[in-house]
This record gives sequence, C-alpha cells and structure tokens, in this order.
Amino acid sequence: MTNIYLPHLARIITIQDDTYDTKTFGLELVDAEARNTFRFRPGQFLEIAVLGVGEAPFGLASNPNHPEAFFVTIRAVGSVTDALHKLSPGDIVGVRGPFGNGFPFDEIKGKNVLFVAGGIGLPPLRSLIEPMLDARSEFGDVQILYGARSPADLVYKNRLKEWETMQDVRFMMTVDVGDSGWSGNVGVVTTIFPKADIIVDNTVAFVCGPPIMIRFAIMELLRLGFAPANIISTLERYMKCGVGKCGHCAIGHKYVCLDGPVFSYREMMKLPERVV
Amino acid sequence: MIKNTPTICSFCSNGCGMFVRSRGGEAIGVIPLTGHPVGEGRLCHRGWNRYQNLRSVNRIDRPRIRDGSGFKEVSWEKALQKTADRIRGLLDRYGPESIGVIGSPWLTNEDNFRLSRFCIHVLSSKNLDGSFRFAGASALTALGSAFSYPFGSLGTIPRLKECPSILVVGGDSHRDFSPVGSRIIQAFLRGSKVVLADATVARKEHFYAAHLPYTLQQLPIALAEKSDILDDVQQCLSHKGLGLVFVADQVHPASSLISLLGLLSRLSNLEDSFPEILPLSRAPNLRGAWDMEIRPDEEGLNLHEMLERDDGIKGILIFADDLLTHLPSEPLVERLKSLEFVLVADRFNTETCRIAHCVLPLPLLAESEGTMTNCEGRVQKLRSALPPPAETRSVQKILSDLSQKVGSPLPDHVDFEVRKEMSRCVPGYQQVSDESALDSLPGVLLPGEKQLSAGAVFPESASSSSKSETFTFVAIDTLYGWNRNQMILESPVLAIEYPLDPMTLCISAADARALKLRMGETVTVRSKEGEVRLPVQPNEDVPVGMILLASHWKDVLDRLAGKGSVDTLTGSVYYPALSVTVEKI
Amino acid sequence: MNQYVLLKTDLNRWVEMARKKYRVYAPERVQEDIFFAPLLGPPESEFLTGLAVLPYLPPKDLVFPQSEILFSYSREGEKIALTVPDQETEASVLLGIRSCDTVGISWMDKFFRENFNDTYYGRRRDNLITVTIACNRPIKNCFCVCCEGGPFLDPGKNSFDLQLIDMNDRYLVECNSDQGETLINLDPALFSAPPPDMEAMRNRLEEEARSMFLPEPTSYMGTAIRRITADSVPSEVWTELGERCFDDGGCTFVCPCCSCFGVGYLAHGSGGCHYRFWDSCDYSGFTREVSGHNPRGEKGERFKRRFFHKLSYQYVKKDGRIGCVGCGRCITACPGEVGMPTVVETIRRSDTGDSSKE
Repeated sequence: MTNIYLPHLARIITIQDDTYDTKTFGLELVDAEARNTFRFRPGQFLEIAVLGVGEAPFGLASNPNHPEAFFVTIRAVGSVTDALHKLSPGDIVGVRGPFGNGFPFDEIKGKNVLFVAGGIGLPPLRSLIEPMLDARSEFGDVQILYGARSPADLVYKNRLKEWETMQDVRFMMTVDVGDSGWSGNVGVVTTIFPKADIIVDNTVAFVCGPPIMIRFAIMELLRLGFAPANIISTLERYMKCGVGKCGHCAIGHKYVCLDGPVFSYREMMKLPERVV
Repeated sequence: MIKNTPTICSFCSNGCGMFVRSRGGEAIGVIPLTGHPVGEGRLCHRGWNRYQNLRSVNRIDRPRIRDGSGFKEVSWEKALQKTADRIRGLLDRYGPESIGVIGSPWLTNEDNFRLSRFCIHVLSSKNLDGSFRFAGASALTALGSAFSYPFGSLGTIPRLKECPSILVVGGDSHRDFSPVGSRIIQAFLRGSKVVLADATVARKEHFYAAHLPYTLQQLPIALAEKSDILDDVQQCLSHKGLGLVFVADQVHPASSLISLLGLLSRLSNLEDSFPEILPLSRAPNLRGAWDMEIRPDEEGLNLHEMLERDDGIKGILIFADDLLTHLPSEPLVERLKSLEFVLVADRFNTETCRIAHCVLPLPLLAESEGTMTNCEGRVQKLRSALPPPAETRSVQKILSDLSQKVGSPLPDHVDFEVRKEMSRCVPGYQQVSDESALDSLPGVLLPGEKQLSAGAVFPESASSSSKSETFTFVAIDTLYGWNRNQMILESPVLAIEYPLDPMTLCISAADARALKLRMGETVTVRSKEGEVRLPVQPNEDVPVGMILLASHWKDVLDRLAGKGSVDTLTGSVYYPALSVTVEKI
Repeated sequence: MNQYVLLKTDLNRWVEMARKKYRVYAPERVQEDIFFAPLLGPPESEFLTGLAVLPYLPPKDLVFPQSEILFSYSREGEKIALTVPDQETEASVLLGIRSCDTVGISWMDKFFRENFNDTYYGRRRDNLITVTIACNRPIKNCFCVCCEGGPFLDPGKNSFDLQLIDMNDRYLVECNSDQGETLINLDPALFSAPPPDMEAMRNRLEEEARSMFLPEPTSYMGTAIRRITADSVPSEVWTELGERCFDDGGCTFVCPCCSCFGVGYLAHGSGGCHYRFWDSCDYSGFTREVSGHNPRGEKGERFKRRFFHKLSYQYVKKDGRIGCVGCGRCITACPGEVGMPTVVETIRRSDTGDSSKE
C-alpha cells in the first residue's frame, strides 16, 4: 500500500539561475519504476524535501507531456528554499506527489484562453501553457500577459522571447519598474489590459501571481465582463502534508491541497474566509 | 511500552506538573498532571510541546575546546584539566577577583548551591551572579527590601482565584502564564474585579474592569495622585485580599516596585496581611537561584560590574545560561567576547557556546533530579524522565572534578545530602530536608513573611516630559521572543509561535495615519542621546503616542538610550521609557 | 448484531484468554490520572463498570500517537536509505473505552482513510479491537447526549466491535462486528444467551443514563450549529471568546475528533528523521506563511474557525457528523474556561436577531 508520507528520492539533474533569487531545478526520480510511472497534470504540485531540514510544496512548471524529466522553479524565501538553493546537481532530495486538483485542460478545449501571470506566478501556469501549445489547434485564441517587478525579475527569459515570436500566440509583458536597458511596457500587469485586445467571449482566464496582483487582475477581468466561473486562479496556504490530513491548509471545508490549489473565482467567493 | 514520568515543566516559573511520556529513552509526548496545585490538569502551549525539544539534535555532544578559530572535541579529562589550568592561571596572575561565576535560573537549587560553594570556597571569589541581574533581580531586590528576608511564599496561584480584586501589571502576566491567566478569569467569573496596568497596549480584554495605561514606574505616582483613576478602581485596589501579579523579569527599576507595594499597603490600611503577590518569570528557577544566593555580597562584583568595569573580571564560568542573549547592550557583549577565558557548561549549542574557550555538555532538566522553586515559593522535585546521554556529566560531577584539579576538593554530595545542608544554611529552606513532603504533589511551600517592613519608602516620582510632538519610546522585553530560550527554538511548534521580533518600530495605526506612514516605511527616531532609522509597523494594539521595539535590538538601544539608567538598588542597568521625536524620511 | 451475557465473575478469565493472543489495554491509575496501559495482570474492575471513566488523553493516542516517526534516513556513501519504523503491529484489544471515545475513533477512521489513505493510522487501527463499556452514569463534564456520542452506542447507527452494558452482576454483551465475534470465540462457554427481559432492562438503563446528565454542561447544539453555519454570530462574541483562549492547544489535544498535526525534521550527522506530532489550529503559527503573512492572525478568528470546523453543516455533510462527541475533556483542559459547552451557550445567548425558535 502506498505510504503517502514517504518520499521518493529524486536527483537534481540541472540547476539554472533564473533571477537573483530564483532557480529552476530539473529533477529525475532515482527509482527506475517510479521514474517510468510518474505522471502529473498541469497545475499540480510536489512536496519537495531536503532530508532532515524541511519540506515545502512547489508547483510543477514543466510540460506534463514529458514527465520523465520535470522541473520546478523556486525562489529562496525561507529555511527550506534556502537549503535547496545551496544544493548542486547530483544531490538528492525527497519528492512526494503529484498532489492537488490541477488546471482544467480537456474541459476547456475549443475555448479561447487568457493567461495573466505575475512574477513567480508564471511557473505553475507554464505547466498548462506548454501542453496547450503542443495541442494548439484544439484551443481558440491563446493570449499571455506577463508582468514582473523589474526586468531582473522576469523568469524563463529565453522562453519569453520564443513566445513573443510565435505566430499563434499573442504575448505581451510589462515590468513595474524599468531599467536603463528596458524599452518595453512599464506598469503593473493590469496596465497592459487596455492595449491587449482581450477577448472576453468564450474565454477562460487563468491568473497566477502574488495575492495583490491576483486581486487587481480579477477585478479588471470582472469589469471587462468575465464571469466568475471563467476566472481560474490558485490559492496559497501554508502546507505541510499535501494530502488533506494535517489541517494546515483548510479554508472553510475545503483543503487547498485536495480541493485546490486551483479554484475558480466563483468557488473562492463561496469560501468563508476572504482569500482574494 | 510507554513510560509516564510525573515531573515538573522546566520552561517558566509556574512549574506546572506534567507527565513526560517516553519510549525507549526518547520523549514522545506529555500529559498534564491532574490535581497539581498550579497546573490543575492544564498546560500552556510551551508545556504541551515540551517533548519536542527533548529530542533535539542540537545538543552539545561532547566536551570541546577552542582550537584556532574553531573547536575540537576532547575527552572530559582533557577539558576539565584545561579548565582547571586556565582557572589556576588566572588565580595566580590576577587573584580571585578576576574570575566570575554565573549560576542560573535554569539549574536546580542543588546545582546552584554547589556552584555557590565552588565559587566561594574553591575559587575564593565573591563574583557570583546570574543573567537575571538584568531581568528579575530588581523585582526580587524590591521584595527583599519591602518584606524582610527571606520572604518565602508571598502568594499562591490557587489562592489568586479567590481574591476579590486583582491588579495585573503587564498583560504578559496573564497572556503568557496560563495558570495565572486561568485563575484571573476564574476570579472574574466569580465576580472579582481585575485591573490591568499596562502602558504598551491600546485595549484591554473584556474581563478587565479597568485599564491603567501606566508603566510600573508611573503607576504608584498615578495612583497616589488619584487624578486619572476612577474612584472605584481606587476602591478595588484598596480591598483586603488584593492579588498582585507581575512579571519579575520586566520590573525596572527596583524602586518602582517598592513604591507600588508601599502605596498599596497605605491604600488598604493593612496591618497584618498583604496581597497575594506572584512574581512571574520566564525562567523556571529564578526564585531558587536567588535564594541559593547566586548574587554577590558587598565585596563581590555583580554581572553588570563584572563586564562593565575596566578592572572587572578576566575569566568567567557560565553554567546553563545563554548569557549573550541576556546582556542588554552591545558593549557588554563585546566585553564578554574579549575575556581571556570563558567556560560554558550547557545543554544546547547556543550563541554563547560559540565564544567559549571550553564547552561542557550538561544533562537537560528532563534528564535530571533536584528541586526548583517556582514563582509562588513552592519547592518542587524534578524527576528524571529520560536517561542523560552518555557523554554528559552533572554539575555535581563537574564541580567535584574541577575542585580537585584546582586544588581545593569539595565534598561530593548527592542531592538529598545537599538538601540537608540547604535546610541548615539557606534562610527559609528549613523544610527542604523533609523528603516525603517534597515527594508529595504540592511540594514544599516556603513559609512566607508577609509583614511589610518599616522603611518601604515612596521615592520621588520619575519625571516624564510630554511635549505634544514627542513620542514615548519603550523597549519591550518579549520574554521568549528572539532566541531568549533555546528550548523554544528546538521545538518546531514553539519556534513559530514565538517568531523572531523584527527590527521594526511598532506604532499605533492612528499615529501612522497622522504621519502619513505606510507599513515598512522608514522613519528617523531622535532622542537626547542619538538617532536611528528604522521601518515602522502600524498596529491597532499600540497606544497613541507610543513607539515600541523588542529590547533585544541592543544596537538601537545603545544609540537611542546610551548607557541607559542605573538601578542603584540592584546595581544593574536598564532602559526606561524615552521621549523621542519621529520624522518621516 | 448478537447479544450475550457475561458474568462479571467471568470477566477476568476472558481477559486472561485475550491476553494470550492480544496486547490488552485497559484503564490504569497513576496518582490521580488514568491512562490506557497494557495489562500485566487482571484489569482494575472499578474502571469497567457503568460509571464513566475517562483517561485524560482520548484513546486516539493509540492509533494516532502524540508523536511518531514517519521515516528515518541515513546516508551510506552515495546511497540514501529511507526506513519506515517497524511499529508494534501486535494485535491489540482496547478494554474499557467509553461510547464517546468509540464514536470519536469512528470519526478518525473516516477522516484518515478518505481521499489519501493514511497507512500509519491504518496499521495501528486495523490491529485494534474495541470493547466499549456503556455509561450508566455520566460524570461531571459529560454531555455526550447532546452530540450523539452516547451514553450507550446504538448497534444500528454506530460501528463498534463489542459493547458491554453493566447490569450489576453481569454484562449484556452486544457484538457488532466479526472482530467482536473473534473475541467472544476465545472462550464461548463464558457467554450465554440473554434472557427475554434483557432488552427491556437495557432500554431502561439507557433511559436512566440519559436522564442523569447535569443541566450544565448539557446544552442544545442545534442553535449553535445553525448560527455557525450561517456565520450569524456577531464578531464581538468571537473576539471575547478569543480573549479567554490561551492558544495552549489543550482542547485540540484532548479532543477525540481533532486530528491536525505538524511535521518536524531532525538531522544529525549522516542521518535523521521526519516525524509528525499533534498540532493545533489555535496556534498563531498554524497558518503563518514564510513571508510572515498570516490569514488567521487574530485569536478570535482562529477560535471561530475551529468551531466552524466542529459544528458547521458544511463539515457535518463532509464528515458525517459534528466534530464533537460530548466527552467533556475540553472543559478539563481549557485554562480559559471556554470549552465546547461554554461556547455553545454563549452562541445561543448572543443576540443575532435570529427569530427562529430555540
């Protein structure tokens, strides 16, 4: 029987510096059978442990169509992430998961899709964007709006360049504060909404980022006419077990790790605590 | 098989009874002890999570000595010999005045007693003190001056719930000491009037009948002048059967408590009995360490003097105290770091261990026997719940071996023999040789001397200027905040229950609005002595006109308050409330 | 469900047979406290009568311990080995558990098995057979009648193995599971068929027991459940209740229906372990995030949320019942005197403009 608290061992294959405080870790499960059977859905997360130090949840950022080598993007903000940042390729971490409900995928085929991402909110959305691009013809218009604090805070800079040049993707980005080398948009991500030609009809919007950014982005989308059920975001809470037992992430009668972390705005409004 | 050992919690001066549950020598849980007079079958969040720090991996494993910029682990023989040689060296070169010995409110009475014997008879030094010199000594000095010494038990926690009125000085008294808070609430439910005196909070809880927004220094003056106080609060405080609760660690200076006691006794016109007085402390054995005379006589240096004076000590022996975190100012910290020889005997790898020349591992209180005296003056026996790790040695053994090596062997008495000695020579402790009384649940309540002695005067009022543009800056001793207690850090729950107080100034939300300050914005704070720049944190719970900062930010205090004020009665230094101006940058 | 009669004079013999095949836990006194401890001889009969006896910690401790190691790890050169501790999987019998605690264990059974199956709970629980003693007389803090937690278990509604009902010199034994039958079959000669009037006597005893509860803490839960579900309790009420709360966590630890835990990590040299321990949503750090942001920073909010979890209809739907069995331990453990009955009464009395009849 599966032991839900026992991690699988995973080896760090690659570490890439994304920004001054963010790294992307490419991981591979050590056990061959685990490696071959590992699958995940867009928007799910892993509980990654530095043995003896701590464990924390991280959204999978890689393409679910290539599960043999998956990656997560981690910003150093506390003891666990600091410890992860000190590791090197070849080091071993513990991995449990994938957990969480994940983003809808098949259910939204045929619709237009709008992605609104802020800063470190892009990695989990990327796990949805990539398979969508793989099955591009099954979706309508695909638009990505990305904002970060400054040019130095943009993640996946190379991939952003590729999205900019893709014909069948509408991509715009902005930074809150520019620098001497920046000639693009300046302002929070909602400031590029007016010039983005957002399609509202038959569109599902995915919003990920810092809580304040999510709040303002959703307000704007509602103003544009999006229905609450068609605005989809993720909730973050302090998590421990990831499997709906320890109680830390409970909001109302939902557990962020089981019933979420993906929630529509309509579901969020029904929760007894203010979450957005 | 789970073993349940009934013992006493070692976090604070409440001394609640609990079972420590263990399996195979490892702690796996705790259960409160039903029928314990203090805990009455309940625990606070520290007590309930005590078992976590008992499995800490951050223990000092083996003796170690300084080796260049690092340490190397050595045998006990080598460590003790090295220590004895260094002690001998200091004694020969500079004499016994050059060594200081630090006892601890985290040691048992017996170990403190042994330490005091060691200091006086083996080292011939009179420089004996504890870190409570800066937090707790003032209150105990005040009590010793107001009542005759030994004052024994001045009140009990169970009797507190029967007091028709209670004066609570400092909200921490009820919030962070749940058996006391519980009796306060029980008293309230029975119709008692409870009054909160605390200048640093904007609101009172609903069970307080009144909120006196005064510091301990201001309180006696305010009460005497009757100007601000409602008549019925005055009446409430003059009631016979008053309870008085405060955190001894937060009392500064001693004269303020003496004034308060003097005033209360005048208000109530009492000739015989006096209030139930509970001096609480964050440390389990403040009373015991004090009673075992871990303090210098007129000829010895107290801890402040040891480190402050240029002709102070050259070497220091620190037992079971993370001394660095209890020193109130940076210059004192630097002085400690620069001493020629520092011995640290402790349980966990604390900050103080890092500056030591020799580090020795002690057993935890949960791995020890012996007695401790709680805030009520109740002497209770610890029972060892876990086997001490093989490489630790008791204070008894360490001192016995050291004394032999230094050249003046001490008799190696076990705990009950030490208690016999205590009953003969420690004032007030005659009953501790009664082993069966100690073994019983209520322990031994020290006989109390509650006659307020003549000479409890009412010193001059402290001046407090209050121009409208100025704020009052108060440095708050947050008891367990920051790394004031390694046991807290070793528990995953408690480490986040007492988060590190950030270096931000707490200001009332109203003042922040008036000054147009946002969360995190930096301001310049200027006092007579100097200025600092710090970010602010608006907070609904801070009173208007006040700026609060956790007192462990010594750098800030040094710049704003300079050398602080001297508590002449205690011979220590403290930081009173300051008048400051606050400017947006 | 099968019924039998067991003479009290035969109890020790049956327990003796059980001890040959099982580890038998029964209530044992240490000073003023009662614990469930493995029997080394015959049980204390004073704890196995119809007078309620409650150990300080509920028996959830036997299936969900106060702390337990999840796994240890050790590094040997390049390899890392993870080991799950070999816990005592010895088949056990819990003799002398009371109805409230048995209902609490059923609550835990559902919680730990649903969604992701918690095998640490399962491997202890699957090896545990419960022998409940029904309470003919409640004690001071009991209010199980208000919470469908007793004083007698209902073989039709509650899941249990064996229930013993004290009838002076004998027990009426109700067997409600195969595990229970296994225990009976240890020595079937001791168990005789009940006479026809047994049923009437059983019902009379239950009625009598239900009539013996003290007016306080007994309290009508329906109003509290309704108001909490509708979030119509004024926030000042929660603030005041929160002011009486000490964040000690005692209520959580002694509650048969509380299951929150935290995880700790220990690293020593080349090895270490991850362990879990009882945690409480009352603690200020329970939801505090690494950034310092705390969605439940106010004590009153945390207090309110805990009672939402216990009593709101949303959870009742999810868990199958309210999260309280009326054992009264929270009254014993709470320094602020705000256990479940006080909270329910306070909510009932609070003026919400709710005009529905109570």
